[in-house]
Order: sequence, then structure tokens, then C-alpha cells
Amino acid sequence: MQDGLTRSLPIASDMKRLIRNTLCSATVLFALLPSSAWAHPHEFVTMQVRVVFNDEGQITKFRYNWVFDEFFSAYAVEGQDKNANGKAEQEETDAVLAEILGNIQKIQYFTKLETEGLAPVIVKAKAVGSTMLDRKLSITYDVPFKSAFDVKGRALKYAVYDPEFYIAMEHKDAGQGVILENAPKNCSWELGEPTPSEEIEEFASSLGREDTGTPDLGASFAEWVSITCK
Amino acid sequence: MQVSSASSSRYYMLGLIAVVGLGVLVYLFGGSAYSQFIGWVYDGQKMFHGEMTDNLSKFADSASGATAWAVVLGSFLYGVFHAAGPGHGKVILSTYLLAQPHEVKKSVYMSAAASILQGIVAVALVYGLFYVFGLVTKETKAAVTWSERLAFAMVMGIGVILIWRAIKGFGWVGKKAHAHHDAHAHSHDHGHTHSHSHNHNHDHGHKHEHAHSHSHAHAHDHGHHHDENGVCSTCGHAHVPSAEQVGQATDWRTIVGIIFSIGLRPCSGAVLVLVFAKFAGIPFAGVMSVFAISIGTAITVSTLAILSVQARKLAVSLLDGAVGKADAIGNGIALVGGAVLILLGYGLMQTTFDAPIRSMGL
Repeated sequence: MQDGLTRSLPIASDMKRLIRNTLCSATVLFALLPSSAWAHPHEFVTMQVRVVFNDEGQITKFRYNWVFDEFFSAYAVEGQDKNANGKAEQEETDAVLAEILGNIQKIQYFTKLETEGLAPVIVKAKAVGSTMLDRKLSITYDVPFKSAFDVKGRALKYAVYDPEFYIAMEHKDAGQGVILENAPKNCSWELGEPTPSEEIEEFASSLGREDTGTPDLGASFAEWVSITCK
Repeated sequence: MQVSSASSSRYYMLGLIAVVGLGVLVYLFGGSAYSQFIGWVYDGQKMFHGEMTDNLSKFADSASGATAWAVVLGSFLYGVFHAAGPGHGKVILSTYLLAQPHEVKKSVYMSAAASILQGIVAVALVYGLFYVFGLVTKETKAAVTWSERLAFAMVMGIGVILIWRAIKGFGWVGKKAHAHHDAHAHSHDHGHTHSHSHNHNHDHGHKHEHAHSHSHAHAHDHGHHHDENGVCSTCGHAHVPSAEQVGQATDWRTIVGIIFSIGLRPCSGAVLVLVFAKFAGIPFAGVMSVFAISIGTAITVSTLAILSVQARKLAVSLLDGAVGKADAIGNGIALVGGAVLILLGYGLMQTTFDAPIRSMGL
């Protein structure tokens, strides 16, 4: 009786087998996918970058405002919560800001600069202020250039990203991401959307490194901003 | 039996062709589809992360049944999706399951145990050290690092075990066993395929009535699977155990090793959830959230585990159909799998000594 039953439903059982075997093959191929398919940030930063010009129309510094996600904010502030009252007081968030700046100085505050010829050199950052708003830590600090940079005739491009992509860093939405301060007329900025495809090939050689992060995974998600003055 | 084995591998073949075809399409229409996929994964992770922070914040503002439920559900979904991302755990588990024959049920238990243990370790490291020793999360970093190192050492250890088994299986130690072992495994594989097609019938029949012949076939398969010693003493000359016998004898130790090598490394996401919950004054919600994440993770990892077990059967059956010698093939896979695990464990171990800047260096 049973055999009769199965025989009367050959298509159903064939389909089942086909589906199962397709899934199995898919697993094997899936396991072979390069780790770039698994972009994996744990912390998120929303940025606003103020590009500050001097009266000669040259860029002198970037003023960064970074807002961290709630989870990272709690982690960061907890470490400075000396009185352990579960609240973030001004001295405590300021201490966090100072510590962060000390830690990320050696990687130029996650900043990459590009231009024709010599790119500006970043020097030691200065803290501006910090707050805790809606459980999100917000820090503001200046990243000065060693010497003022003249944008006329050549665009300055920058990106702020974590190469490892442990931290995802994005500009604020709706044209709020970049502000040109004291800029001459005819200066403008443009944010290029990330183009992962360019870096994809490099990832192919990084199988099995998913936890260590691909050295340049963050680059494929980097937002490059171009500042030009006519 | 011959027929069912042949048709089974025919369907494996069809399935493989379907997937390879799909792969070729993706390759041809290439980069853009792939980068879209990456972008989609990233957007999903960002969305779930946002949901989690929102839900926990709402619960901290006003604890109620509704906000608690939102935390649990959101965490569960985060677990399901997040586990689809990378993680040394999945690589270890799927490599191990591909490298050695296993039952589906056991692979699911392993996945679940590893995922739950990961949750327990996160809670123990973040809350345990805080409430018992008064350490803030920053200060528990050293403990987390050592827990990770232990886990990665175990990964390498399991790799060594797999290779050792493969060497024994190949008969490179103890030539005498070789001939016998070869024959043994061969018959095993046939029985295996056999049970496969019958199992299917059995399922159907079960709903109606127990057909006598079928329960017999089923029992036979089971007996064969577990009574390896019985079978071999009938043969009468099993002085050196086969790879599978070695495997079964040391299996529970390896399985515990696998579970710990995965579980001892707390997921960064879970740690951050716990820290946030503690800071917001809702530590219990953090624990709830972490275990909801663990359950979600367990589901995704179990799926991967089941597919790995099946994929092994597929590979062995395909290769056996093509060249025979299922036993040698199984040992070959174990050898490669062991090497993969040793390399992975070594690479991961290095990162604990030479870590890039994470969490703003805090």
C-alpha cells in the first residue's frame, strides 16, 4: 500500500529530492562566498562635518560632530561613570571625548584625504564639546590642517571610515551631512554614494577572515565627499 | 538498492547543476548584483540594530507588557538575521559537520547548545563580573580576550583531532586495518543511501499505518548505524578501529569542544545589549533580550547545520558514484576540514594579540 502511495506521487517526491539537493549544493557554495558578503558593523556613527574656511578662501580645519548609537554610547559612558550613578554628567562625557581623541589620533581620526598633488596634513585634534542626548553620545571636535589648503582649481576629497568596518560611519541625511562654513561663493560639496563593487575583487582572497574583518572592507562602504570651488 | 542509489545521485546531480547554473548567472551579471546583495545585508543589519536600540529605549522609558514583548521579538529577529552574518562559530560547526558523518538531530542539538552557551557566557562576563566583582565592561575586556583565546585554541585542537582521525582512517598508522576498514565503510555507505529512500516512504506510511516491511527497513538502518561494534565482531578481525569508530568513541568530547569553542566567545552584539540595559537600569530586560537573540541564532545556525550534514551526504554520494571509495573520500574531507580549522583558529588567535582599533579604543 505504501509503495503504491509513493508511486502515485512520483512528482512530489522527486520535487522534494530536487529541492533538498539544490539546498545542499547551495550550502556548499554559500560557505565559499567571500566574507565581504557579510559586512558586519557593530557600532554606528552619524556624522556632520563642518568644513571651515579662512578669509582667504582656504580650508583650515574640519569640525566633526559624531553621534554614536545607543549601545556604544552606554558602553563608552559607563567606563567613565566614576560615581556609578547610571547618568552621564558633563565631566564624564568630556572625559570620554578626551580618551577617544587620544586613542584615534594615530589613525588620523579615521580620516582619509585625497587631492591632486600634496594632501593637507592633519594635526592634533582639539575637543569642542560633548553631550548625551536621548541616550546617544554626541562629540564635537576640531581636526586642524597643518597649513591652510587652497581648494581653487583642485578639489579636496575626504572620507571618514573604519577600514575594518567594525564601526559604520555615515553622514547625516538630507543634505545635513556637510556644512561649508565661511566658504567663498561658488564653493560646493558633493557626497558620492559608496561603490562596493570596486573593492569586491580584493575580498575574494579573504576567505575565512570574517571575524578579523577584511582589511579594507570599510573602504567599500566609505562615503567620499568632494569639495570644489570655482 | 542499486536503483535508488543511482536515482538519488541523479537528483544530487540535478540539484548541483541548478546551483552551478545560478552561480554562472550571478557571475555573468556579476558585480552589480553582488554588491547590491552586500548592500542589502548591510541595510538589514542596520535596520535590526536600530529596532533593537529603539525597543530597549522604549522599555527603559516605560516598562510594560507591550514594550517587553517588542524587546523579545526584536531581539529574536536580530538573532535570526545577525546569525546569517559571519561568525567563527558557523565556520567551525559547518566545517566539522562537513568533515564527519553526523545525524541531523545531533547537529541541531549542537547548534542550539552553542547558541545558548554564547548567551550565558555574555551574561556571565558582563553582569557576573560587574555584580560580583564590580568591574565595568571596559575592565572586563581582559576576561573576554582570554575567553576568546581559549575558544580559538579549542578550534585548533578540533582541527588536530579531525586530521588525526583522517590519518588513522587512511591506515597511515596501522596498515592491517586498512583493507577491512575500506570494505566496512563501503557497505556502510550503501546502507545509508538505502535508508534514505526508504525513510521517505516511511514518513508517508506513518500517517496511515505502520507497514511491516518498512519499519523493518528502518530498524535495520538504525541497527547498522549504531551497532558498528556488533557488525565488526561478526567480521571477526577488527583490531584497529575504523575512522568512524574512533570518531564515535571520542565524539562526545569533540562535540563538547565544538560547543565550547563557539560558546566561549560572546557575541559583541549581545555584550553591547547587556551594557546598554545595565546603564539604562533595566538589566533584566538585557538578559531577556540576549536569550531571545540566542534562540534566534540557534534557529539560523541549526538550518546551516542541517544543510551541512546534507551537503556532506551529497558530496560523498557524488564522489562515490564517480570514483567509488566513499571511505577514502570521507577521510580526505576530514583532512581538509581539519586543516581549515587549524588555520582559522590560528588566524583568530592572532587577532587577539594584534587587535585593530575598535570601539574608539575605549
